[in-house]
Amino acid sequence: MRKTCVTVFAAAAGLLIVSGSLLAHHANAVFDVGKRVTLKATVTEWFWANPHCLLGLDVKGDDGKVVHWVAETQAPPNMIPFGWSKQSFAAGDAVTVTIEPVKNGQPLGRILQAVLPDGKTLVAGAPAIPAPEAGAGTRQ
Amino acid sequence: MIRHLVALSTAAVLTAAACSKPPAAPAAPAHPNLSGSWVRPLGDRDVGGLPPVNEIPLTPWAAAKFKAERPAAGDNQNFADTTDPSLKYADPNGYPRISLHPMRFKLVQTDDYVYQLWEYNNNWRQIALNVPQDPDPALTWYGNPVGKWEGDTLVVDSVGYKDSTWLDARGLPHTTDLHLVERIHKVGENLAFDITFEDKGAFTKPWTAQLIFKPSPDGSMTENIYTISDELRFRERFLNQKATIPIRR
Repeated sequence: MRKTCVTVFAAAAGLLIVSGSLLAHHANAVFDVGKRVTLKATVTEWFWANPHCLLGLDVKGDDGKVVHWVAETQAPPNMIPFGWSKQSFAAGDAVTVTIEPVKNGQPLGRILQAVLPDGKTLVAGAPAIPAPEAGAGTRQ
Repeated sequence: MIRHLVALSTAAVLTAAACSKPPAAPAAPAHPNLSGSWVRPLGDRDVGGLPPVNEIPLTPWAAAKFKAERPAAGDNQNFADTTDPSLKYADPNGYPRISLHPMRFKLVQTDDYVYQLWEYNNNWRQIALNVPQDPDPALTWYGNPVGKWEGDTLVVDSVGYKDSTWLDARGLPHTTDLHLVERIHKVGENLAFDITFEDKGAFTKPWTAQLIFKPSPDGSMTENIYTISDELRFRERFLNQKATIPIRR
């Protein structure tokens, strides 16, 4: 049985993140900023689309129950410079995905990084930076 | 016969005149070439932006309107029930909001026009060079920009903006009196847009902002057209929000 690992940990030094305030589409208030969840999962779907790409993941818990997660990234043009593409994932891929989860406890989050079956790591943004002040920096 | 002689003589004179001068060397470009692909990269902090709202001299009308909006970002964010016209109706962003995305744009510079082609929503604007501003332009999403060169700086004057757009994702309002003056110039390898905002209905005095764009090595841009179905599909799939109208696949 696949061992399920859902590890929650504080922001670790060196982890690459996208600041929530940099989102081009929606608010970061929905996310538990700074919290991290690592999912060992099986890809069910990779939806390469506006306004955010969505990665469907099945995560099997220690009790054997499967929980379906949906994790988002930025829109395709924002991801291409970091090496992401429509072909980054295929259904059935075994991946390890680090996300920032939503606050309300639902199995949703935004992807910070993903380790692919071949060991390659995709990061979802620039190196960790402090959140800019309201209105400053990269805003929509 | 006489006609032929005159024609031959004229040809000889023209030939001599043409041959008497050496061919002119190509003129040096009068202005910097701003053409290329530019981007405010996702995550970069040294790319400027609009100032905090409390530093913008809002009129009472603008302050009240700003407070009443429900943007998807910023201090008053309410993504689920937003009033953001670009999310609620998929309206074009307007300017300068569209340039604040971490997506590319291209500048295409000709003698008569500079075209700004945004990857976001595949929108574009045309900056007519060396023509007077229209005193009563039609109101449009991206205004009526006219430009002229002042040395190495392209100065763009624009009016004629619809008042239904926001200046940024926080919900910063403006009226149809919005008047922008942009000074576009190179800073090293980067491109700076120094923007002055004037709008007697929304601001008690002019204010400024600077946007910095970096060269984008990849000149190819994607089709990135954002529709209301995209928005509804995202909300349905990610937030489990039911769409109020059918989603086109």
